[in-house]
Amino acid sequence: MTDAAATREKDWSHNPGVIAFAWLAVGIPLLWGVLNTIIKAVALFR
Amino acid sequence: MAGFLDKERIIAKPTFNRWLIPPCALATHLCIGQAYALSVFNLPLTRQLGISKSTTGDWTLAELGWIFSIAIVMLGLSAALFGTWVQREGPRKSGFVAALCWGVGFLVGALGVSTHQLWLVYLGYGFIGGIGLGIGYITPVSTLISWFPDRRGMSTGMAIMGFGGGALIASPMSDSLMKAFSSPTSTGVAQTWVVLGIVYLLFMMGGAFGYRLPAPGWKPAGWTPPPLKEGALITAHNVTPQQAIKTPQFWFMWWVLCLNVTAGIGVLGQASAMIQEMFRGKVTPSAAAGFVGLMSLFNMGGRFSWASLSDKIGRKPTYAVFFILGTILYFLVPATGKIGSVALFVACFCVIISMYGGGFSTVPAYLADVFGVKYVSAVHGRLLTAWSAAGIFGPVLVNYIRQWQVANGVPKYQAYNVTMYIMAGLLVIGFFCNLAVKPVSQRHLEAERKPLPDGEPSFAK
Repeated sequence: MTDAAATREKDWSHNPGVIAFAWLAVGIPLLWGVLNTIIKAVALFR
Repeated sequence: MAGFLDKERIIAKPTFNRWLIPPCALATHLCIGQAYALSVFNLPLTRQLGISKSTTGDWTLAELGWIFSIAIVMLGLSAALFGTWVQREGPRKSGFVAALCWGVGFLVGALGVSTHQLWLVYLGYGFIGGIGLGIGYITPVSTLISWFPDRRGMSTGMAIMGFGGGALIASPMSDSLMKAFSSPTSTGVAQTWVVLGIVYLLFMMGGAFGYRLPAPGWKPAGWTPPPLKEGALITAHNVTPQQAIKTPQFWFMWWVLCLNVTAGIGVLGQASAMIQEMFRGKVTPSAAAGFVGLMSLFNMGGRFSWASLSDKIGRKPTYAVFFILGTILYFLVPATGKIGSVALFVACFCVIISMYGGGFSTVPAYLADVFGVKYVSAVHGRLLTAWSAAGIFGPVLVNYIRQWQVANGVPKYQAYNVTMYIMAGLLVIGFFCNLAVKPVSQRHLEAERKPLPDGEPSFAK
């Protein structure tokens, strides 16, 4: 086993919980921002 | 043993799920995208001493404008200077450094705000933070392109969409924090910057530690690279960043990006004033703020949708659409003012701004097509100087031409017409620059090691 292979980190990518957490961690703030902006943008159509 | 931040440590196993990479890239870009929301601090920063209103010794808006300008110039410079380093050291180390610079930049800036030392704010947010912006912006690019060779545009579009989306989060979050921290003796800006600095530092660190690189030769399951056609723009070879800047292709693409950004950035900063002046009495300040919000949404959405479309129709045709459609729409804008149609005006600018965002997000894939994947972050870093230049050209064109028009007796509602025609003209030039982008000459391609039958490597193109 090479040094590089020995130091490779554990592969979490097959854990659906990790994938879901990663997407929620960026998705929730983004959706919150989009929602806030839509609410602000509604004023244009009133 | 490879160090904790080293590239060798993050080489993924062949079975790694690549869909873990885009959220890491988004974590970086959502944080640095805050830069677009810096203006929410402008008014509170002009009354740091007076608190309820500006007083003698308070900073002026003109002085504060330099914070953003320094940050954007540093973005371009650091992306250009550190691009090769980012490529060599890998996304974990560069993501780590970007997080440190961006977080520490806020903290130094907060110290400057609380002690009322403007130079510290310039140094913190502008200089240190600006370096974080540049390194953070290019960090995920080549990683995403390596993981998504089948969807280069979509993957980089997703990350760069985060840069547009960052402002949508930062703006209301900063407002809420300033409200919570404000008191009769404080505007709450310094405390808000401390919180933002810590939150961004942690969030970006999370992204940096999540990055993995595909093992050499890795391909998505079931995907085979499309056969390369003779004379096609997409290359299987690589061009080093040092060679890339010697090619006419690089400079044509530099102008493509610069002109596309110039056309959008100027109106983005003046959108609120423009709609109110062109439709006096029809558009209230709160409706104008809604228009700015709508443009932010289209800026963000355009980054993802145009870059994804470029995977289907190609990068060059995508930019051709930006330049042709943009020219038509800029010519239409004065007419919308003439007939008093707010809806048409809004529709024109929403499409224009979506293409402004699309220009940013499509360019990394365009560069990977023309110069190869191997050095794309470094070449992209050098190309981003076009953004810095456009950051100066765009607002200067819009502001000074309007001022000159008004000073010469042109009514305010017509003062933007000449600017719109100039923007259309810039896009026509951009169209021809894009048309001039051809495959890179063989002499610029990097020599590749090809083993000879006896095992000795030879260099061949």
